[in-house]
Amino acid sequence: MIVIRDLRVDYDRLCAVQDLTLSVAPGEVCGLIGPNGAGKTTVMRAILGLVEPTYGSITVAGVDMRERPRDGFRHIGFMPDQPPLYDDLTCWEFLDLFAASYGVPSASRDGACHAALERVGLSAKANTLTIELSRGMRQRLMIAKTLLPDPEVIILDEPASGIDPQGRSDLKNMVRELARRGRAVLVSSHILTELQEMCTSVAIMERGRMVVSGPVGDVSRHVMGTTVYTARILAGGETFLRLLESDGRAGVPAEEADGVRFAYAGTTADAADLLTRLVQAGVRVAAFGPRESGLEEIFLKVGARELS
Amino acid sequence: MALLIDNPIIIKHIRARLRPAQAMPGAVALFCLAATLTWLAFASQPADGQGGGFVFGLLLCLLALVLVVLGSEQVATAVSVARETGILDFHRISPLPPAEVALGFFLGAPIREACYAALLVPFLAATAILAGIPWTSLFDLVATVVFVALLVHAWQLLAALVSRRPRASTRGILLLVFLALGFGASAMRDGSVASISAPTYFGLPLPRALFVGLHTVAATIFLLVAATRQMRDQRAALLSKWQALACLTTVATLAVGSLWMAEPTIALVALLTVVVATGVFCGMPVAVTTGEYLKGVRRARRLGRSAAPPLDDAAASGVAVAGLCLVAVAAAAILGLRLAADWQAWAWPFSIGLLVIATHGFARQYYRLRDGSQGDLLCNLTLFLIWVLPLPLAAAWSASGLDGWTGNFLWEVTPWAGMTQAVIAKAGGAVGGPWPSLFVTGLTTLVFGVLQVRQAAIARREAGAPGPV
Repeated sequence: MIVIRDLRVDYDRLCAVQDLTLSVAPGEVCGLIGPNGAGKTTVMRAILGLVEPTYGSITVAGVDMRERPRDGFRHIGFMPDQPPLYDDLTCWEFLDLFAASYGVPSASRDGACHAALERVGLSAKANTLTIELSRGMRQRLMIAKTLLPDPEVIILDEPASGIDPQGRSDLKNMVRELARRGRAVLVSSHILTELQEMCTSVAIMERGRMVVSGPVGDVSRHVMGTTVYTARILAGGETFLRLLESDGRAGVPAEEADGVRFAYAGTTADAADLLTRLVQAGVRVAAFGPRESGLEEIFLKVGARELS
Repeated sequence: MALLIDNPIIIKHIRARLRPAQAMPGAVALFCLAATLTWLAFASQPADGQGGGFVFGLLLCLLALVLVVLGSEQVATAVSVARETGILDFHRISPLPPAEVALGFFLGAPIREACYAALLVPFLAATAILAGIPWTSLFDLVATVVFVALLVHAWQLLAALVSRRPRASTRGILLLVFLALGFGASAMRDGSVASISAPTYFGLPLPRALFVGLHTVAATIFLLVAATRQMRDQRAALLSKWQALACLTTVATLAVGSLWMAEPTIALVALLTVVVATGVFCGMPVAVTTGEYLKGVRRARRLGRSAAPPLDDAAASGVAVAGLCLVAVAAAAILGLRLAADWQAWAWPFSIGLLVIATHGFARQYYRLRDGSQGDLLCNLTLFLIWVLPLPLAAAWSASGLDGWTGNFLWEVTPWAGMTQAVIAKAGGAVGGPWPSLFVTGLTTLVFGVLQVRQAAIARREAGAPGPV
């Protein structure tokens, strides 16, 4: 749905993005992360045509954005962190403006705008000037505007900043729902825990380059190396430690609040065998399984490696 | 028309700016004021036959104030707010063509002022009848105000899109407008509008309104073209190289056509002024910055070339500047051949004029390639030092009673003095002009021409592209 190949973007003498390749498939929610100045916003602006790339190709829903940008824009919904609205329009008029801009036929425009307001719970505010809306309501109106033309690709830049927990939860559900309906979503955020909850893939940028990208699990294994397991032992702790020691693939165990953590270089089947041996040896195991590495952990590890 | 019908931006402005609660108070106030003035004109009619004319002038001022000053203020404000809040980017990334967005702001933002202006027209007509002003003059004056308003709106639109402090872009407008208003009002009092001979274009007599419209609409279109480019891409140059050439060609054609029947000396001096000023103006957008040039080189490298094609947006401006000079030469030759038997005698001032266009174009390109957009400051400073500073220095030198030769030399090295003296010499029947001026302007053209070629080669090396040094 979004395919970027060999993208390079320069601002005067500064190379902001270099030889970047990224693709986001239908139904995928890709989290674009990186430190400040990594080039995330530049990538998003290049997809949106707000920055002219030096070279490279950007295709959105099969449309070459450099050849036919206006056709491509029909397929893109964009939501920035600060929702800019026309303060002198009502909510309905604001949506109608953009519905007309996206070529929604005038006969169905009124219905489409009311449906969009209904979807974000702003039906009662249809005739209210946008200047009278709270921050959260403005964000919801922006969501309605973004989804109004039913875009195939949605780009969200720090979408959760400034909205309340309920709003964040709604946003998360909305993103999941969009992915379920086959939309490609590219989202950038500094709140990595939140990204983790909605992203199916991740792309980590550093100094204008793509460091690593792919499904969260693959990136995690690629970056973190061995898988970390957590076990909660109710009884037989000494036997557990002895069996771990005898298994050459297990690392040194460490006590944690919720159990024992240890690195394990074996496959999932090897780990299952280990669990069987523990149970057969009389160890009472309450919980045993691989611990998913958080995006924050992955990001910090990648960042540290790149910066070094 | 497709850009105007169902234009969402115009509809947006109609909704936002014509809400009765906001639009009515102004309309009522204006109606009352205009009605009072008209009644005054009617009441004073038996005693003073000029009363209608004076009130007509006042109402014309009011019309221009509403349409030109307040209207253009609205265009600037609407674009500035949209730019500052970031909503302009939403229009940039919508399927709406940039030209439609630009026209939407251009015609939509001053919609309330346009309605107010329409409200004034019946009162203008009534006072025109009272003052015995012919309908043709009324039409000419109202049309002129409308054309000037469109031109100023387009200028404000562009200024708000490119200015670093968009909201401060309305300065200077008042002066322009009140000059026009002063003309309108005084013309009504002494009836001088009717006495001005009908303008011609390539010898063809034109109604005044059409003549004014021809010139202002051409300028408005090029301002809108530049605004459309800015709507598409905030970092784009105001005009492409082809558009800059088209701009100078259009201005030169209009100037030649308008001066076709004029007295030769006045016509050629006017053409020289217009063509050189426009040539210098068109030399600005065609000069690329380092970043854009490097971008063009990197793109070209991937296609197996060393730099972008000469008239590409990312190419250095050498060929485009040469093209501008060519257009200026063509305009001078056409008008010279038409008006003056000894048109070759005009070669001197026109040569200096062409070198001014070339020096400016090459210098701007050199500094932009060297220092990016910061290079404009250094370019302006350099041109000030070689073109302007010698003038006050020469005056000071002469006034101080020091040797006259140095004072004269300082005066004669500037192209302005060169062109002026050549024109004066021509009027006196002589041919030629001051050599220092021609020599210095030619030398600066050569120096900056070489420097810009050298700087382009340095930039190509920076991009790792092959190319001659």
